[in-house]
Amino acid sequence: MSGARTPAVVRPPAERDSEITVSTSHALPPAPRVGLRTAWWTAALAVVLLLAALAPASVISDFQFFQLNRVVTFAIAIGGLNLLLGWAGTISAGHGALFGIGAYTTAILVADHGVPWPLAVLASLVVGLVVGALLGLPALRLGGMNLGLITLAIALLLPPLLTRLDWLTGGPFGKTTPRVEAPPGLPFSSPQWLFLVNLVVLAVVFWLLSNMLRGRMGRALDAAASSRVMAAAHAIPTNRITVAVFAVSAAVAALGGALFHLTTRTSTPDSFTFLLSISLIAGAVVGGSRSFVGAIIGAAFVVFVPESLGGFVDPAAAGQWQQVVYAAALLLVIYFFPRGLAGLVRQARNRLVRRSSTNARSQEEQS
Amino acid sequence: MTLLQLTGVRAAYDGVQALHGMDLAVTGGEMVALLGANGAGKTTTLRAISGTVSVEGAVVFDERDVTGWAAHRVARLGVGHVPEGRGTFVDLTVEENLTLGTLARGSRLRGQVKEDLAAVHELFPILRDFSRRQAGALSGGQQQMLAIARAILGRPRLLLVDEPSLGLAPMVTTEILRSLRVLQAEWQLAVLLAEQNARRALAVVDRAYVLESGRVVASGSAAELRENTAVQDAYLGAEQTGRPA
Amino acid sequence: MTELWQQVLSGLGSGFIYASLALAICLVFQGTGAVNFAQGVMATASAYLAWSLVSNGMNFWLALVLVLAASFVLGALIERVFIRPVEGSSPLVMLTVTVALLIGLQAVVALIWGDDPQQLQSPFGGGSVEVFGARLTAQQLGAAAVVLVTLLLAGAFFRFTTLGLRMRAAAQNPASARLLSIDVGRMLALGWGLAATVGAVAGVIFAPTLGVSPAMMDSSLLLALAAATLGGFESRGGAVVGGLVLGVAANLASRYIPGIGSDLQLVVPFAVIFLVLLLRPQGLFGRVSSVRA
Ligand SMILES: Nc1ncnc2c1ncn2[C@@H]1O[C@H](COP(=O)(O)OP(=O)(O)O)[C@@H](O)[C@H]1O
Ligand SMILES: [Mg+2]
Repeated sequence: MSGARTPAVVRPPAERDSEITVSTSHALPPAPRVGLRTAWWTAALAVVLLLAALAPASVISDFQFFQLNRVVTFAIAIGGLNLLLGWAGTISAGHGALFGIGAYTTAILVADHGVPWPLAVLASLVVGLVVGALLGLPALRLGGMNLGLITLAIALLLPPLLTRLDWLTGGPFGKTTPRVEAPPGLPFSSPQWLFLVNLVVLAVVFWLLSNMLRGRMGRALDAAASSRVMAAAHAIPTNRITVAVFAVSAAVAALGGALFHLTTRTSTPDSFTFLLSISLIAGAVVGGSRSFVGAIIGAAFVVFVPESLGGFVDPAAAGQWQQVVYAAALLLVIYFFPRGLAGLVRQARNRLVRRSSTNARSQEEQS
Repeated sequence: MTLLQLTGVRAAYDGVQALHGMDLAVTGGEMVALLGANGAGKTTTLRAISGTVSVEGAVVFDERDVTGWAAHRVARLGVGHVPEGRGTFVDLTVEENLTLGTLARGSRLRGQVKEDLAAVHELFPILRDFSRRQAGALSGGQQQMLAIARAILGRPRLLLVDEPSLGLAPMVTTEILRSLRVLQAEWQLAVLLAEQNARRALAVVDRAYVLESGRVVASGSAAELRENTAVQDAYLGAEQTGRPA
Repeated sequence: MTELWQQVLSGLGSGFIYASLALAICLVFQGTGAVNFAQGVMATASAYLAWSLVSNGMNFWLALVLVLAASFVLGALIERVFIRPVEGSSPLVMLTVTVALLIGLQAVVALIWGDDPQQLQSPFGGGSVEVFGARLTAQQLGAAAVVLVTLLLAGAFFRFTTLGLRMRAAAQNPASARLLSIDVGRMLALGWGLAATVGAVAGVIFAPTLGVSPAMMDSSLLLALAAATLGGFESRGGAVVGGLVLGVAANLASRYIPGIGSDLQLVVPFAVIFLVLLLRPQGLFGRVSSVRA
């Protein structure tokens, strides 16, 4: 405990005496860098989904598009959360609230001020960035898990605040905005059109984020997450980076929220409770917090798992079973697949590739 | 009678082999040194014995195969370990640190705690004077004394001591090694002492093993090793080369 | 003036809930390095257990004793089953596990006992007492007394018993503790058990005021986390004092600061923490240990 200056007040005992324990460390393992490969995967996925978007309504119904839109907007938010969980080594228990702030910003601008929705979405992004910076600033001094605590406060305070500030937010009934229609002349239904928009945003955001992580920023974050001491030795300003990353992460979450509102059209205080924040964390961990493909897998988990429970459990208790499933999935992934489902997919693919390449080699040898 | 026997002991850190088949034996009541340069594997050998690193091969203590045992179970059998870095409980008082030592003896020699504490206090008076102080506030040498005192208060039959001289002034080191010798004789304690400073270690121990890259490369009585020119060239010069504090 | 005094005292009353949960959180943190988000819901489970026993006709105090024993076992079991596999992991992994425990256990509680709030009769009756001009219910006073005794007992346990000493040693330097034949794993499980027990005291004894529901401890957990932050996670006494201070502060703020009703009371502790941490990152009472190499 030598460091009076170390901001990480919350330090696990394991770290204190690492000179004796031969640690079988169970930290989130460093996954390979986001490479071109991830970008390709994302792109390929986007193309597949794009084709799906063009499918006629008889193949994919408007309701299914509605669900897919929820997946994509959650995926965007989870991608933002991954910056913290997977790279910055910190946690936000309040991304559901940031998501909600994005949703409400768009809702209010569109409903009360007649702002065109694309501008409103951009405004949500900016609001998210600002709120994120404001929340992240204390991290400059606090670091570590205290950020988690502050974000937890936001998560719990947002719903009562939204209810309270009814002159702005519409109180418990929230805000409803008109349906977003495709530009005249394009043969898309509203959910179809939104799906296209969301996909494009998802692709652009993930592409930008992976570029960011591939550069100096990613290296700095890795150094900072692996060891504050080492980062300090390399003169990496960990706290400033943490604030920047938190702001970006918050902006991305707010962006996801804005698009989510366009899909659901109504935002109420109880859409953005603590459980949403938890769901996003669950999605990030289950999908694999160092992978953007993982963000999409995680979002699908968050949307479809509670859905599929519907048939099996008493509808009155569906919420509880959903929580149980989230909890079980979180624990299973943490214990058995610390890289999440995306890691599992990658592992399986590598094994396939290796097998086929050894097959090829042995055939060559035979001939 | 053989108290400790290592046969073909191998140990690795994250897949990197640190011990490549160590063979070593300690008889009850004798004082043996493990000599070797930095990184030779002295610390790892001690850890292999006390069960704080996982090993292959066989570690037999008092005719019991303790390979793979959890550290606290090995300790309960009567193996004391003064670890590298001293392992001080910095936020506890000196007195509490020593109490933890006496608790380590379990039900053995329970009635003798008071006398043993008195004996230890006589040997290291500073620990009595500072008994209410936070252990973290002691100097390096004082913490080293505390670590040794704590370990022997568990009345082990085998005491593993990892480089007590590290970072200490030569005078202090000599004092500590001498105290160790006194205790060893009085309490019929076998001591396995890891030391980089071969000259000083050979002045107090009965026998020694010389390690290099995780293997025993020489062994013999202290007198023999002092005479052995190869060992002299390789290790007894250590004093002049200067060592990291 | 009396009004203020009244508010201070009743704030202190709820402060005891936060103080005991904060102490529990500290115990767990010092042992396993996990910030236990499930500490509150563990206490909720204890409260429900007590409610079940009492509503089946058992005497309150007998039920309390049984529930405390059960909570101890449950806490130790949770450590063995859920925490052990990730022992020594990064704080992030630990946090994820305790968050999973929080949502899982809360759902299980709701599935077993339902969502509707239940009422537990106060064992102290319906009377009230005058304390220097302020009026306190017997329940308020009695609950505070019971928690106070618990906190003192816990303090004495760590300070004066050899088991307490061994637990402190295991928490502080597990590697070194093992060399002194301390079974660190068992100490950690004991720590969780003890924490669950301390939390259960608060959960059960305050249940008549809080009402028994799956969410009964939600805001208390948050205030307890805030209290632990305020006091410094390393300092058990600090966490307790932090809890009491926050209890009073939150109560005064919701009474005297316009616009802060009970729904936004949570703003207060966080504002306080914010300030404290900016000035003293180690917490109000956290020590910067004097360690020499
Ligand atoms: N915790 C560790 N992690 C990885 N390698 C280690 C660790 N401790 C020691 N080693 C390696 O094991 C070998 C033996 O080290 P050690 O037993 O500490 O030697 P000595 O005590 O003789 O200086 C060295 O090569 C060292 O680098
Ligand atoms: Mg060494």
